[in-house]
Amino acid sequence: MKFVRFLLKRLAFFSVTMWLVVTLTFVLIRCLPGSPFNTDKMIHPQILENLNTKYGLDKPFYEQYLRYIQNLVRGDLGISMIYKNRSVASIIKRAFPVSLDLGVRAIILAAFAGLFLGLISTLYSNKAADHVISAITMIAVSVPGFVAGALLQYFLCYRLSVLIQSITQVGYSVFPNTGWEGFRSTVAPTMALAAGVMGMVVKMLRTSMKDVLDQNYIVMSRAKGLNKREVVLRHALKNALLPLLSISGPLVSSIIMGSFVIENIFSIPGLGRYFVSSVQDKDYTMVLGLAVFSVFIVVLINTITDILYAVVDPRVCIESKDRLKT
Amino acid sequence: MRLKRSHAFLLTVFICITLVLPGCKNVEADYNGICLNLGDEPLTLDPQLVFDVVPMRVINAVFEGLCRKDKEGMPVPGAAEHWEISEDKLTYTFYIRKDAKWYNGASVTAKDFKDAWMRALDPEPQYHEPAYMANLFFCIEGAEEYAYGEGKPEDVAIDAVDDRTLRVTLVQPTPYFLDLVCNSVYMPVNKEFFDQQISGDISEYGTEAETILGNGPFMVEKWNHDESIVLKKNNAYWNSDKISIEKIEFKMIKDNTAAVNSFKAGEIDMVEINDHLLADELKNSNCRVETYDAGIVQYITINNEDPVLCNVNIRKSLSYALDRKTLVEKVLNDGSKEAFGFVSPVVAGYEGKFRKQAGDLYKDNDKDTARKLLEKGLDELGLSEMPKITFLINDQEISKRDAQVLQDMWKKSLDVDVELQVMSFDAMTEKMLSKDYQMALLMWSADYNDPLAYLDIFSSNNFYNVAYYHNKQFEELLAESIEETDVKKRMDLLLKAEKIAIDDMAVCPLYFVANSYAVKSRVKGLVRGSSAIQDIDVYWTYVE
Repeated sequence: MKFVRFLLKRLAFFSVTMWLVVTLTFVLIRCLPGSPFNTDKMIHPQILENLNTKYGLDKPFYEQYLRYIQNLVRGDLGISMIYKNRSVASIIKRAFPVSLDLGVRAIILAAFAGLFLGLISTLYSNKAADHVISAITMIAVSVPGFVAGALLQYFLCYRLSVLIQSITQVGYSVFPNTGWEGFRSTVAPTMALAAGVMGMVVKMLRTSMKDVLDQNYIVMSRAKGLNKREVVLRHALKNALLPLLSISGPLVSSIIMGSFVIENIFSIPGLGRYFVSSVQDKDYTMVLGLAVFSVFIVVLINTITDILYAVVDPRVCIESKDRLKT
Repeated sequence: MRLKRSHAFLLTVFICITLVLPGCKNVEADYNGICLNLGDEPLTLDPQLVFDVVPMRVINAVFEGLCRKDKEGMPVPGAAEHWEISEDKLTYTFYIRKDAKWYNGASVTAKDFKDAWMRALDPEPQYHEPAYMANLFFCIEGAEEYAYGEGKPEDVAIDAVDDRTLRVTLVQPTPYFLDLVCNSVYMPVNKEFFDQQISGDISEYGTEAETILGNGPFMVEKWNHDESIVLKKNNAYWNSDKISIEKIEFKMIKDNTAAVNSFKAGEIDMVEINDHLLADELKNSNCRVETYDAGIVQYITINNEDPVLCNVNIRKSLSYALDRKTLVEKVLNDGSKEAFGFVSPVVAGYEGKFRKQAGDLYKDNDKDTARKLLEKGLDELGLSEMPKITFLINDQEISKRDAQVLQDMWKKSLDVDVELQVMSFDAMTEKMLSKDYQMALLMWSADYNDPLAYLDIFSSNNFYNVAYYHNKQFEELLAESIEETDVKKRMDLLLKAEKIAIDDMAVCPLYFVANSYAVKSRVKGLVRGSSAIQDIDVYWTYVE
């Protein structure tokens, strides 16, 4: 019963957010100068008028708005104004799985690499390994995606294939510079996208581990004679992961929805580019469609994290999750 | 037996390598195909709806109009075997070749062309948006009225006499009509196939590989959106014996650095060059670097109705003060040429190129004359000193670079202050259309190979005349040229017209844009033309 109430509350919250976002986006995108049909070349006025009529842009503003909301309620996101005769839903349906695939790969890599490095640095805290890991983490966190992507592409894709070509005299790329075909093409972009998140995971884990390791029960276990590795892995890790879980929601949605730069560098056919290009092109329906979709994904991921939180930490009651009561 | 840790590691690496290597695609071997960079996802591959160069690169290979362009960019028979032009140059009769076929084996008929052209003119099409390029049909009788929703479709003078004969009547003698029919918007459509693609209130024609039916030398095999388009040779094409290449892969790499890396690593066979350092670097490797005139003129449009810039001497002074040689050689350094006229050097005139016959219409880097003209202009306006001028530029890097150089030149040679205003192209257009500007940096490229395509933007009733230039003599010459059926006399009139407009410095031409690209040495016969439809032409391409 509690669970149903929780879900209903979330649904109400979701509807209000959705309405706000749609309305704001609808108004803001129209404030930009120009129209979807003014490209690099000015378009003939009569043809422009015909186009406006076709897409209903000649109607009064409120009428367009009401019509959009009506269609939205029916689940229709409309037709892209730039990509001729393609529905917004079909573009999202095709491109999102690619972004999701890349995102999931990056999250898995970031989580495992992050946990591994984080554990090493707690186990060997203030030793050489810890310092090296700290340095790596600093770099991973502070280097922006477009630099990491470009560097990885240069060394891992371009330099490596030139090297191999010079040795074997065969034109062959181990990791292709661009594209999204087969495992080899996913390596470099996944690493580029995972780097920042991995750094965050290591840092968070290190700090929370330190807190946990100072707790009485840990001191107690150590005093009982358990060795450090066992204490860390058996008793400290699960508790140290909790703070990490609370940021994982926003982290996951940002990694899945925010891979624009990486997708652009490696020419990956994901959804990321549309977030930028649709605004630049003033593809009204696409911008709105993406806004709706983002809200949906973000709310969904946050809800899942909240449920997970309750599963991991039984002290947290799902109903009161909005404010972390214990 | 237990493996040592280091051995286990080595074994893992070895397994990984053996897993990865079999995927090896040998690019250099006798693979009769090429891989090019398309640059972006095409908005559609419906020939009637496209307007930018990206989809046209594919459409030129997949569809064929009545004419297509030869290596020099001149119209030659395509789907039409031959044609007749009436005495008064108003009626064109095209005879479509018997062996012109769609992929599915159906014959290409005159009706297919009529259907396509009428579809492009339809002001309220049911299953798609109105065509951007509909204005290219306005030389046909009744077309403009129909597209504006004032005329009836029956009155458009496109007549499919029988399956193989198409008769078109024009409003005026249009010597460049054959050039027009090479354009994407003039390509045929198979109505039956088009109708099969309708779902709900849209037609999915041209949005997927399966929803395209072409009649060109290649067919779309695969279209992985945002990633690649794969074309394969169409054996049903009437001239397929002459087509050598079997497969073309168009990748969609937007980021040019990534494209250059891909090119160097051997993943693509051609890459655009936008940096002369890169050109020098690539010259040493296994490829050719080529430059071609893109048919684009970069110019400054001047608001001729502005209180200060309405003065012809001031306009001239601003133009004469510029040092175009330095601009193209020191700043651009990409093979672009200084412009001393408005019509591009690629445009055909009467027996030879128009630009050659017209010659240079003024001299620049002439500071003394420029200063004198400025003083004279200010005197005529009753001003004691030149007020600050605003100069609109779009937010692209090259525009900012050019504008800063120009700003500096004006300051140094004339002591004129010019303020740069950077904005989106949309915002610029809005300002120009409402006459709320002084100068703006623009480009012009023509839709057909004729001087009129350039000069027409200076006539009063032309929508593109954002310079608001009005000159009666110019208009008369242009009007006369439109009626004139004698080719030589017509060119003379156009030569005169250009001279008048440039003498008035209606706009200030800067340079004719050149594009450079590098192509792998094994790829031969790849044509880069000056018109959008022929930007990449693989008709004569072969690999060694």
